[in-house]
Amino acid sequence: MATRKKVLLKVIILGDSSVGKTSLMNQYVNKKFTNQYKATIGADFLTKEVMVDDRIVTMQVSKPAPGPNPLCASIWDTAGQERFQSLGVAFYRGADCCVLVFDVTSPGSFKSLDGWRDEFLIQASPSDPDHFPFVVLGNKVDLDNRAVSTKRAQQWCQSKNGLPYFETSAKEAVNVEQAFKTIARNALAQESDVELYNEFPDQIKLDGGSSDNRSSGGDNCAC
Amino acid sequence: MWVNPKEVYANTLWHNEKLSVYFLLQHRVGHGQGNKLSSLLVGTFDSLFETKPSPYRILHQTPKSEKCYEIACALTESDILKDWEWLENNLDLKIFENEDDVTDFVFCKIKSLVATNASETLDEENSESFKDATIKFHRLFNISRDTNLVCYYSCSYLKNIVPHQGWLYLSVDYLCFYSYLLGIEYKIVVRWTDVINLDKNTGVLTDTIKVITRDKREYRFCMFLHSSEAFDLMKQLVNIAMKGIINDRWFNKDHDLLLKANKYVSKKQSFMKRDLDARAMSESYRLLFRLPLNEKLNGITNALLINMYTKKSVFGQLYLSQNFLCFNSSKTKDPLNVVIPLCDVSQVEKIEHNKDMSFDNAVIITLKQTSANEKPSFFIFSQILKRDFFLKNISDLLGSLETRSSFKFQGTDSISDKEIKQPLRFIFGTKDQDNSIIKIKQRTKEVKWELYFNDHGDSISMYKTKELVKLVLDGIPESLRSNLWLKFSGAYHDMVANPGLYNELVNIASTTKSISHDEIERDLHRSLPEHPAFQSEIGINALRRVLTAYATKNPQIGYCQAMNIIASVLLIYCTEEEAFWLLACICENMLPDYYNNKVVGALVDQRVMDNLIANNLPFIYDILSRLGLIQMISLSWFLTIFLSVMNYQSAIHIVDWFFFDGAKVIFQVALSILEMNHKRLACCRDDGEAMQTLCNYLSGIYNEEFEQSDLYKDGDKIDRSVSVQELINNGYTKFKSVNSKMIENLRVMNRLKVVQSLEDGNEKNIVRLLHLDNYFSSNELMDLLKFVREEVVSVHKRTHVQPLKAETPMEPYESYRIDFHLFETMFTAISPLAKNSGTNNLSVRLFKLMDMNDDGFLNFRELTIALGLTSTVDVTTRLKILYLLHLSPLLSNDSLSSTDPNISESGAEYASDAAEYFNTNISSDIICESNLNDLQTLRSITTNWKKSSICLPIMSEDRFIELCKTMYDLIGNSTIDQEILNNISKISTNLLELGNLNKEESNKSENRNDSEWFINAEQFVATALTVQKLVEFIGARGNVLKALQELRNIYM
Repeated sequence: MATRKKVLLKVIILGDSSVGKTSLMNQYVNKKFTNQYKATIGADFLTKEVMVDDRIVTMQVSKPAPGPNPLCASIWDTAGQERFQSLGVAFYRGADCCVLVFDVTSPGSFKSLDGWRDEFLIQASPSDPDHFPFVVLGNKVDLDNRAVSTKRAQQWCQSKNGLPYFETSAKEAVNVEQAFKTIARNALAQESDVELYNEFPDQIKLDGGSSDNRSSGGDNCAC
Repeated sequence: MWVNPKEVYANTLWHNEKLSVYFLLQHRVGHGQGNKLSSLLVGTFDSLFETKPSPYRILHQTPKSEKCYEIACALTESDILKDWEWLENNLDLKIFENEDDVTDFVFCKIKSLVATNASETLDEENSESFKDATIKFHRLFNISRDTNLVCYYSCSYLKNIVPHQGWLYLSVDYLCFYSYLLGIEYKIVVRWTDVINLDKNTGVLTDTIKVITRDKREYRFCMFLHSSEAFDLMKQLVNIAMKGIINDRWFNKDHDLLLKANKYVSKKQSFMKRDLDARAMSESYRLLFRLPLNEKLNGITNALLINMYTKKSVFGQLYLSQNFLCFNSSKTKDPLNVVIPLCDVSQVEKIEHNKDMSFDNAVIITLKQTSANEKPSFFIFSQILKRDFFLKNISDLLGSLETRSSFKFQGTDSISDKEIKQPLRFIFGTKDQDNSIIKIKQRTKEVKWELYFNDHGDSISMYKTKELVKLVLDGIPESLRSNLWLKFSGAYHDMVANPGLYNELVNIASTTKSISHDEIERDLHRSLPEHPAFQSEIGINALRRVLTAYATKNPQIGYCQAMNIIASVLLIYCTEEEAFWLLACICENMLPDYYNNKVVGALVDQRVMDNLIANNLPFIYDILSRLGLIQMISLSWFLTIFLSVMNYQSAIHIVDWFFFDGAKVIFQVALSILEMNHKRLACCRDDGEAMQTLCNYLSGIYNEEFEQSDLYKDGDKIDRSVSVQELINNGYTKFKSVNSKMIENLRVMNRLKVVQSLEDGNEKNIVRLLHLDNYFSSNELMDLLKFVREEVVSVHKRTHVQPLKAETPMEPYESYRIDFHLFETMFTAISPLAKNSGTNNLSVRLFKLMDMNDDGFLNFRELTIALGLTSTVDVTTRLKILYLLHLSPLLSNDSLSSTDPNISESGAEYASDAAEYFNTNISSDIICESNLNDLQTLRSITTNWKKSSICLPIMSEDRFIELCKTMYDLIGNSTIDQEILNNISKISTNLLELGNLNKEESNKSENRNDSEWFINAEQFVATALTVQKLVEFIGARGNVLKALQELRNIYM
């Protein structure tokens, strides 16, 4: 059984400029939304203590402290403009999970996901790139002028080994908590050994049947 | 004989002969006294140290100072006495109040005497010995003639630990070394663009210069006569190469320099060396005085500036360039810096026959009157070496200035009515501005500044002294910010030189669309959202105009996030036009390459910062490397001059100092921040915690002037950490050693590493991407890319390729652009389809097919597809490509009409075909639309070769005959094998018959009789495959590595 433990998870948020990376991070960590964020230069970052569900906690039996363990997740928010991509290598190193964000009102930001994913895999070069945990978030579902359909996004996620997909609104705090819960769980799975990873194969795979779960506010995650 | 003053030790080997208050005449002990012991001893000393001094000398020394300076020397007593008398009769040093002034004055005087006496040995061109070396250089290394040799040095190449004496040749593109000793030859050729590290070790016996290249080879050279000169030149050359890679701008000879008549330049060196030296000097000159980028230094001379406000005179250097006259005294005790734009000068006069010694060789420079009731200001420089030469130069420059100004750009004066003509802080007051305490504080500051202006002037030509430094460190009052920022940073010069340009750019930008504009639009509300000005359309629109105007002015930068944050803060204190020019000055001058498409400059400075931390704060360096935070903490600090990491009212003080003192300021502040957080950082367990700690600390920085107001971040009140004033003072006092020169030096070395690591990443990316195309192995791709890199760099210099704009998103392989010449060379070397005289024809058509955007260049991917389809794919595909290359419009109808086969085979025909193709590129409308459509069809077939079951168009009879000719050519020239030629004619006949059958078939099935002869690709391929020899020949896999090696051997 996995005896290895790590109290710090490193999560990287990637995506085009102004898709809402900073807002998502702040909504999750500080439960707040404001219009007054500056464009992120280089990278920004926040930490949060998260509780993980029972199963994972029981995995870490070797821990002296009884009861569920608090984990500290450090969330790295990055600059979206393309020319900052070359800085990636410094930030991506040692990441446990990568969150790809796009704006559901901007088809361009959705198209860029491929590029962001590739870039991350090259720069971070994780040991098992095919199974590295990515989580995809379609943000700004509170807006009316939606341009990327749920189906299209899900198809893309399916084509990449079934990445978990969530539709979120950082402004109205829709699905943010759930999304980050999955992120934390998958990140932790990455940290633990292969056996632990295999315990939850269904959490990584996107269930094909979930495509009928269309309501934007609902939980589109397959978990 | 007078000598340039140099510091000497008044040791016991000299005996004093004469003495005055400031001078000392000495005689060497033992000289001329026969074989006495002391005489012998001195002789040994002299030969040991290889100093064979003249037996007599005069020293200058002041009573209070320990230091002595030798100012004259002579071989005989009578000579030295003459000099001594001159000193006694001509120098009246009583007029000076303090000893430093005496020393300054003596230096100045002596230097001018030395300069007048120096014999002028000039020769017109490069010296003979240099010409010989150049010829030898080109012969030995077989390097093209347009590569100029810059300099050559005698040194040794260290192979393991054995030195091999030889010559090191440095040119703009290459470092070369040659030695031939005892039958062993060493020849080394390294491109500067391939150098990844350059290092000098100062050893006990000799300095060693180490060069490491991309392929991880290491070369060590030692035993230089002038190791620092050689090393400086190598650094400069490698830096030019790196800047070339960053900006796609390559080195061009400065032809103005050829015409320059300058007596002070020694012509003993090569022209290129002089050119490079002049560049280096101009660069440090521009840096010292914050002058525009194209300013070239004309000359430097020593002079005394007589300060008209304080009546004190200061010794320093007088600089003259096309548009400026500058003066700098770098004495640490009393620094002074003055910049006089020549366009402000109204007259320059000599001052003659003045009794006052300090007015010897003086010149008075009067400036134009700024307003009617004010006295015009003037400057007096005295003790100018070669005053007449200086006067001639300055009058030439003033003369050319007048002719130049008449051609000055006349901007449209139609001011767009939307433009905001005042700083946003006037329109959107914050509550702090109304606070009476703050008002009083501002007023007190203003008074201090006014006092300074009274004593030192307030125009662009103000005296910048150490009192000014103090004022700036205290912060500039709000009302003076825009004015002083412009003048300190040098943005003022560009603004004055280009009136109306801003408005014009705004107008152009408002009617154009680009990716930059979209990016700007996204960030307008994310620049300084906490300020009321940017919660209103007025502020947002102003910011949009400034940023889009700049993106229009400099498309290579376009727009980079961080510029928005800087621009928005500038707009609070400046008008739009001022903010625009300040932004331009930051992007192009003060933080070079920071905002380009790879933010190279910012990456370089991250590494510079690391070096500085390691040198100044080693304990913090250890902490940061433990946390894995090296090279990343300060990125946003630098890119936004701290404006994004602390509240802007605090950061603005750093900006004040930054505009005054340049980029070194951000390093000093950053070091100060780290130093103040030493204890906190030491407690951090991981990178996240450390980032959080610094982040909290930075948000807590406050401005003493706004003591009452609380700090907020994202709506939360935050604890104060330190006042920005304290932070700045700490940085200024503790990290004084961090100066501009040191930073420039570190930047050169780190630029090398950053550029090469970006190139490495880029290469890996390209190989990874193109490996998916499956035409070549990774190794082959790497080698192809290396070859293209080497060639492209030299092609860039020959033909001037328009640099690509930063804003067009590019795949990494698009940055390599291959012209037809290079393509043909590679195609001929690699592909079996090119092994004949008809190559020209095929290569032109293949190039045309692959040049998807018709710009006359293939990108690297297009190149690999073209080569892959003709040398690595299976034989069926290659036959199809051969077939395709004979279809319209690749093979034009014109070339078919020639009935005489002899002509079509001659080289002239092919040459004209190539010429025709490139002509059509210049005016692409010659290709008619239907042709263009056909071409696009063929291109899409080529790019989707593997995906779809392709259907090639049918081929007509005349084209088929051309195809047969090509096959004959291919085989005929390489193997004289009658059997295979017979086989080809056999299949040609078969296919001709097949074409007839096709014609009848289609006439029958479609019930008409106008069908023409045709065959299709499948028929051609199937028939051709029956000839085994042909299959073997066409299907042979090209050996890329071998072919490229052979090419290199030819070229090198």
